[in-house]
Amino acid sequence: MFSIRPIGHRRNRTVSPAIQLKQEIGGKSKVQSETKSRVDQLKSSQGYPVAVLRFEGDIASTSKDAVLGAYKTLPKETTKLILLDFTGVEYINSSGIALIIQLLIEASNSGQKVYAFGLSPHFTKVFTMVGITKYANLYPNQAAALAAL
Amino acid sequence: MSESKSTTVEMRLPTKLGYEKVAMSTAASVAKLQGFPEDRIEDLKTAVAEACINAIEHGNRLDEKLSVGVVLKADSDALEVKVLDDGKGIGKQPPKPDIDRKMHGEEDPRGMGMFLIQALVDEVEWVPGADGKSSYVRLVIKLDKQTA
Repeated sequence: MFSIRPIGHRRNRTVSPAIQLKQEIGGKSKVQSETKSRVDQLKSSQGYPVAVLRFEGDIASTSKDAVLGAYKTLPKETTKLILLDFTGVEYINSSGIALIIQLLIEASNSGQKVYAFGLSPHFTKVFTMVGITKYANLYPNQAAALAAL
Repeated sequence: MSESKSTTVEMRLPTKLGYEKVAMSTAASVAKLQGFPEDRIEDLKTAVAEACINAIEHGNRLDEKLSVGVVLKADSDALEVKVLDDGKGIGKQPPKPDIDRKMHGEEDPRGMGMFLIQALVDEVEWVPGADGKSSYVRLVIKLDKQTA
């Protein structure tokens, strides 16, 4: 064990150099990067239509619109296969994982199947640990995913 | 941890979601300097981020007048991280998350932070503050652990 200063109390106004790592975005200080998402419509190698939801940035508690909002733009009648692209995602925390699970729940309730690709080896491990792989097959890249669907 | 000479880094973070990434990046830098392999650094990053998020959301209840303390102690064979907040600590550990229950709406989709911390580090303990606040979580990640 080691001794520590009582640092759990009122915040000192001094800003540490580490905290100055914050990014200034639109005049408002932010540390978490904004999540961007977009939808592409592709066909699987067997000719089925596949909606690809591509994410960029962090997936955290602030990502609800980018994750669930983007999912909700997909027409339920015609979208049966959904592919999540995590290639541009660097950071996913437990709140972000919860959003992915919410997406899986909504897709399951709508009779849609969800797959994913582009996760780093670490987040592949994390998704496996929390059981997401039971409900969404993971593929290393888009080509492998489209070939399997 | 061994008795060899250690290095300590301390930080004080605002109680604001997103700042867990500052602790995460610093812990990763320290682990890299200590020679930790990339996969252990990734485990450490997620564990430290989740510990800080718990401190911000549950310990300090998003009160921006409070701060979260982070103390990193690096030895030759392990890295110890303490994350301190002004909460009273956890009463009892939540059950292990169950994806089937979550998918069937029987369990909140959230609530995986503590599970991830436990799964990714070698030692973890949640210590309540003696005065009903100033609790902390202590994590240890070892250099020589063989990854699964």
